[in-house]
Amino acid sequence: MSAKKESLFSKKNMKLIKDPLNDSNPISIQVLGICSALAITIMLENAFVMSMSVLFVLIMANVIVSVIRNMIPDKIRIIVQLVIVATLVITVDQILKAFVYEVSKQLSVFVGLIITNCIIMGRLEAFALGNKVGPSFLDAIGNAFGYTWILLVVGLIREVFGSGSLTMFGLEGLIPESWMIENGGFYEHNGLMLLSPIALFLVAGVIWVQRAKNRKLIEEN
Amino acid sequence: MAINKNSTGYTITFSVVLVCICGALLAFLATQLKPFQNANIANEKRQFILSAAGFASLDSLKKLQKSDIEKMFSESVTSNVYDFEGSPIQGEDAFLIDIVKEFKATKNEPKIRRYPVFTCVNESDTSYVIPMAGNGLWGPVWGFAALGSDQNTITGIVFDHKSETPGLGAKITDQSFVDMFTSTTKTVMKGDKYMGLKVVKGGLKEPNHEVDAIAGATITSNGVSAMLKSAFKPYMKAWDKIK
Repeated sequence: MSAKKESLFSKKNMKLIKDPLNDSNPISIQVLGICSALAITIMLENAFVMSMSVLFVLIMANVIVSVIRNMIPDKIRIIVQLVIVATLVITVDQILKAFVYEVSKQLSVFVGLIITNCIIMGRLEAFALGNKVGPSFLDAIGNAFGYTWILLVVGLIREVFGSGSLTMFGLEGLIPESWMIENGGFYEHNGLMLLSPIALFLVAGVIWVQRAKNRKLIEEN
Repeated sequence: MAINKNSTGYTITFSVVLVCICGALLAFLATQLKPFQNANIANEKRQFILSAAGFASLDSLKKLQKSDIEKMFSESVTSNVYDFEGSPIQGEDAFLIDIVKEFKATKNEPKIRRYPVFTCVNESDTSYVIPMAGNGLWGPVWGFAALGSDQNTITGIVFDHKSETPGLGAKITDQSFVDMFTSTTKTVMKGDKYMGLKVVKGGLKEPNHEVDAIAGATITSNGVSAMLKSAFKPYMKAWDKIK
């Protein structure tokens, strides 16, 4: 316990939230958690529910691990982290099945795979084990939102151009019917947007734009 | 006295306590959420049956409230359970028979299996919806098939699966796969001979009894094929009594 108490929202702590959004983004800079970014961004709603699940799991896991960090035996710390994360993930899975059944069916195995999401284990191991509860909480929020915004961007692009709808907001047929090729227009939904590989290109696009805007991220060689 | 965090005794105690807490938490959660999850599963089953019977597409049924689905179901669907010899079993609620579990429990003994039939009246059309179950690549596949009033022609079908590969085996739930069963006439009988339905590769030899398999999903397609081939047969003895 340090004598002078640091404010939870001090500059140093705010950096914990801001950095993962941009300079140390878990997906675009650290390239963690890519698997789920490719798999479940076909619709904005799925991407949103997935992000919120990761947000919940990451915050809870970071806080819990930080609280008991001085009690965890070093030898089994990874297993302890896994048990905590797995418990939280099963909790999320059960809640989704009870209250948003349709979405949980579409996310299928990927909710369970949050357990192996590198972002979560990475943050627990790198941050929560060595920091107090407050900063760990902020670090979790920062990283979860760093993950969220990329998922939402990719999900938005894929849903609008892949199926011309945003079911999350009840919008359908965003593309006017008269534009469609079968009605004599020029437009066709892009089938590639519905497949996983396109998400990789979109994430790559995000990485490109981000580095072009933020020069210090570019590596020397 | 400071506790030695790295002693074997502490490690074991710590893990036991942690596992007990997590286990208790999950057990509590599972029991609390079970009723909600069961309601969702029952609702989905009603949607499947109504969709197979041609009331509306699965997508539009999914947008309806649970209570509306339940009302629609209770108004237009009656159900019966038959045994292998085609005689009705009294006092059984067909809706409560989980076909996947039933299928597993009587794996090699179709004679002791129970066979539910859902009779759906949509305006003047009657269709008979029967549940089917089989094995996919990773887990069970199941579905509901609707036969028209001639008890021979497929009028609608839905499939579902537990854990088939997304993008490959999971495509059995896609509209494009389901549509193949209704876009041209598919019948389970060829004259007086029972044919069932098949999912085949490399072109259809019996266009009235076969549909094209899904590329890249051989084992799932084979599982669905085996399920469709045998699903209708046990009902042959029961049809006369259902009319």
